[in-house]
Amino acid sequence: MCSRSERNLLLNLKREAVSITDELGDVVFVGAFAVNHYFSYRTTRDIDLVIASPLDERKLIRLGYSKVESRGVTWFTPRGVKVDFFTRDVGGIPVAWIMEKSVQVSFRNKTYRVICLEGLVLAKHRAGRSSDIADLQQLLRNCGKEIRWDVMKEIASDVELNELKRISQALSR
Amino acid sequence: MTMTPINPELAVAQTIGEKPVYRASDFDKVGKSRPTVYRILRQLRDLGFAEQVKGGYYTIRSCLFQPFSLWTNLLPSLQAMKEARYFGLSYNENDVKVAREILEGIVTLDYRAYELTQLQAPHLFSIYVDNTAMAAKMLKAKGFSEGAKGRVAVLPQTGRIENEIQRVYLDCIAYGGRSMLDAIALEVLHREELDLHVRGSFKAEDVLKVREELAAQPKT
Repeated sequence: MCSRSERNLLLNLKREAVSITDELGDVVFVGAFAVNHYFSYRTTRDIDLVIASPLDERKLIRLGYSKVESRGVTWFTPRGVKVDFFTRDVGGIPVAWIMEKSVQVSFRNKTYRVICLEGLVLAKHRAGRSSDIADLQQLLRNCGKEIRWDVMKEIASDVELNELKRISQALSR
Repeated sequence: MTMTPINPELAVAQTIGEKPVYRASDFDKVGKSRPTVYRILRQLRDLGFAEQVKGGYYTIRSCLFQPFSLWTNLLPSLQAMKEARYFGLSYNENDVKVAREILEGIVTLDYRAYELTQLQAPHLFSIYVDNTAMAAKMLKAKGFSEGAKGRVAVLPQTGRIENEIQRVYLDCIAYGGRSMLDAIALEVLHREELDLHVRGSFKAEDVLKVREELAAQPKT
């Protein structure tokens, strides 16, 4: 039975986000884990994050992170959680902007940061895979009315802005 | 329960490409005239592939882009999802716990997929019941309200469910979006229990992502 599964998996990821923040400092979480900050939804067990400084592999290894090289490089935290690092941009959105506009989340007297709603929506829109389209639909259904279009305008093209407004109007409740 | 037969002409709709929402005009390239476009859209809605949202917009389930030969196998799942009724009490995971105690039936989609694969945290509790009206009555007696946002989905049992894992697999493909990842995980972990001749078609990047996720077991 899995009645506590969702809570357990999300709690584990939140604990993981706090630990990673303690270890690496200036990081912002993106992807499905960030979607779950805005509304309760599904997530896999991996965690995607943006890091301000270039990836220091020696530091990561010293901290207990491990690297597996097959079809690219995959990193695991000391607790065994798969983690994907973004050091330049997420879907063309610069890391500096994501850091600046990030949202602070409190969890058990600790904090971590997630990408702002506008950045998340645009990143999902640009990714365009089936699961990203599903995430985008859910984001706009649940949070479409909370989007700050002036903030979105800083990163989206006019075409994207108009398209996202149109999609948001069609889906928001 | 009778299923709407599939018109082979509908396969042309697969050329529109995946988007979050569509206008009728997006289908112009697949229909020779606007009446043809509306006829195609009506048939897609009847089958459960398309849903009309606000202001003349439509959403399309990603399973529309599965091989046409699989569509017939997806129809019972699509029909059930089309007729699903949603209920909520506290609108959190506690609703699932309560619904599990009240309802008898076959659990599918998020929760069953999680039990079978451990891939993704579940969200929607979907259950096939013999009598949806009776199930609705039982849930309402416990204080549940019916509406679009509920996390408990009561589905009519459409088609025969002889192989439960196969049905969960097809349900996941039919539901689409993130459930497609569950379908891939089921195919990876329960290959022998699935019908060799009824398989979905998945993008390589999604298959690789699922394989990586399944291989990455946390230490704790």
